[in-house]
Amino acid sequence: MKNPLMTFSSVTLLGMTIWCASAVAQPVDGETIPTPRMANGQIYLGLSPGQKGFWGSSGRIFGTRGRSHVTNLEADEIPFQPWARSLWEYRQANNEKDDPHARCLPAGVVRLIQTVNGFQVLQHPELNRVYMVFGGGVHTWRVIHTDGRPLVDIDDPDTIPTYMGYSTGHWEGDTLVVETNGFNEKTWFASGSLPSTRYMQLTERISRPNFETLRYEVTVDDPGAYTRPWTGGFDVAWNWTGWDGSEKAELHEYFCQDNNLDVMHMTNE
Amino acid sequence: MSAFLKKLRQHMLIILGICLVATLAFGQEGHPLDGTWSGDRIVNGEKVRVLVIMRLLPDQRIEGTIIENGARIPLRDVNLDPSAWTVSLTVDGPGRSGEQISYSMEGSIKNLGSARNRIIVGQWRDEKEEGDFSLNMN
Repeated sequence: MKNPLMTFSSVTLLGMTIWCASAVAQPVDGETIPTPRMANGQIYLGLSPGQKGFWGSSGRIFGTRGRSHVTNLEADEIPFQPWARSLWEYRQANNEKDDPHARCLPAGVVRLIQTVNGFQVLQHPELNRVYMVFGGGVHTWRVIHTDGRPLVDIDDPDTIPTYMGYSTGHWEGDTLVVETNGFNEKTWFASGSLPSTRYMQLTERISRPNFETLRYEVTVDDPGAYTRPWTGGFDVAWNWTGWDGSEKAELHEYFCQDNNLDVMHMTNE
Repeated sequence: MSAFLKKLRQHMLIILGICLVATLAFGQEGHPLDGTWSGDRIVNGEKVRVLVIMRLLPDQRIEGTIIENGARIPLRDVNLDPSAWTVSLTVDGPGRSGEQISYSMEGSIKNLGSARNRIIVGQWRDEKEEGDFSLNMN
């Protein structure tokens, strides 16, 4: 490069790129950033010190499009109970117009991970808790206890069924295994209008093979709605910027209840 | 049974019904029958207020109870045909005064997708009479 100005500009640009990359550890030219780890070796499933960003685009637990896992069942392979299949077909035929999520009601735990506006995972080993903070829907959160507590007894009258259920998690190597039961039946628990009943127990396996990928797999065990347990999953991509493209890269303020004009467009046409 | 005890029993059944509504009124997006329904059964031109509680069991059977005239009567043979969303069931048990109450109900679910406006409309019949009924999901 003979032009000194071009040389200076190129070097400066290269230097700035390296500086920016080192400052926030963003990938350069397809570089794969390793999974971040705590001092005790446990991986960070979400934000780690000195980093920015949040989890964004995901896939579905059935079908293989986009970020959905290639091992997923196709819709016609899901082991629905007869009523559940008919209800699912009814919802599909009506373009999911009755979706409670579109009415700003809380979504199920899988659906929240799939909802636009992203989410963050915050680990607190000292509190024996993992929090999942969701930017979409009703801007809610979920708590996963990692203190070894058992699942709740859903037949106990003192167990109040909830939207998020009761989650207990443990680590198997670099995978957080979360078991949850005690759900109410007010949600479509996953994207794609899947029905569920109070008998549902979910086993989620969450790992992070590299910095920019969250691997999510869930086994659905619900004898009320499905004839046998079945498994599906998807990968979630890390977002380096805010949805507006800004460098802030934080979950932005979004409230479904504010100015919710979408629901009037939900028709079966 | 004295009048007071009868009244007390009636009140207890109402309270029981309210408690069951509070515990079961979360079945809106799951099995379409599961939950609490209230409505009327037309008997001799008169409305009889009824409260129906149905619950899906893990083996797909549906158990339930109907409360009418202060009596809590079990349901049996509750069937849902999901191909047409039709419902049939039998009410069979002692009434408030110990008399046997037996009749069948056949209806169809309307507004299936709506958690708040789902209804079952149809006809009830016993050996002598028949009439309409309508139930709204609570």
